[in-house]
Amino acid sequence: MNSKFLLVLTLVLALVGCATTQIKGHADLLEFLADGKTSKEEVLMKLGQPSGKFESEKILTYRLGFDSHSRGYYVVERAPGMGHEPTWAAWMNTKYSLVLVFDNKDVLRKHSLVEVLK
Amino acid sequence: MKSISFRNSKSGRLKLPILFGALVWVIALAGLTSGCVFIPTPHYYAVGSRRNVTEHSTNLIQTGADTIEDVMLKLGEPDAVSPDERRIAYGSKKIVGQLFVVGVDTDGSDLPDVTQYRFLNVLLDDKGVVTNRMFSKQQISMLTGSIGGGKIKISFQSEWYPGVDVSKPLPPWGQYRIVSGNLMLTESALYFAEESQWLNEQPALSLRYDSVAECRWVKDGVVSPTLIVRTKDNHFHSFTTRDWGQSAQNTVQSACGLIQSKINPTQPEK
Repeated sequence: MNSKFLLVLTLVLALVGCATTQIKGHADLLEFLADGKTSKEEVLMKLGQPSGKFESEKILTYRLGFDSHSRGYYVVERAPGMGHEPTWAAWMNTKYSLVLVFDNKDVLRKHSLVEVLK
Repeated sequence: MKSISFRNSKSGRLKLPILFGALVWVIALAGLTSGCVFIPTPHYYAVGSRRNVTEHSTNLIQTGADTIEDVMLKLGEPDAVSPDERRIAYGSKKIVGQLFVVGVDTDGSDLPDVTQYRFLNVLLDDKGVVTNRMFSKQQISMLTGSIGGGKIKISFQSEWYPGVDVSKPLPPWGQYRIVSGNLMLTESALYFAEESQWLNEQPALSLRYDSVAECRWVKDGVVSPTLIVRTKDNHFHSFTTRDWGQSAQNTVQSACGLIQSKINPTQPEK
């Protein structure tokens, strides 16, 4: 009985050890974006902190990964650069760069999804 | 003893010992000159490198017409930006070969990669309109320009020791911190931006020279050339360089000279 229990326990532990956290993208993650309608506040609420802010935050950028199983996007945090390349952050796990341009009233004016890992 | 030989169309026979001897000479020469042999490989992008910016990307950007937002809408988030946002850059990194270190036994799996960087530099005017764009293979460590309204006179990659004078014995490990980043000096202030920051963000440290009481630099066997600043309220900041060479020493010396000329303007230059 004890040996069976140990065998099962070993198998369970081995399986847990092999298990990886699966990142699940959301196919509809970007569906809320509409030029002339979506506010910056809405973007920050749904996508979180951007990876880059430019032109007094009129331009926000996000790094997005893509999960081929769910065919959905997920936000990737900007990783700091490697030691000898200090200001150059790597595009790990990232497939797209989302660029959002806002007007003076913080309403989305233009946006584009650029594939960085073609 | 029967020697193995290759047929040669012109001379008839080319003996293996000659080929072997030539190979030994090549390896010996390589070993004596650099210790390494460069093995070219098909070029491929390094892990984590962006792949959407090539030499042809320059054609996508219209000088005098496109703005910073147009560039970003076409190419995505840049890899670097200058503090004043008048310069942005897109970079990629390719593996072009591997280095075989002569005399080191390896199965080839851990050979160091030989990389080649490619950068698309975009320059913008005060209105954010593109004035120039260039493609270059020269590695860029940081994009300078101006910060806090002043032109950056001196900048270098540095490790910042907040609250520490590195010329004296360091506090016990864990009682001080080391911050990697970029040190930038203008005519009126010193700025330090952390490595994880964009350079257009608020720097981690801003120190106006009128708050500085003393500046000196050190170079000894323990630390690389280091700039040490003491503020009027008796706080120390040390900034070590990442290089040990004469160039780093000159840079730190110049940085110290600049600060000293601002905190002691009446002191005649030596």
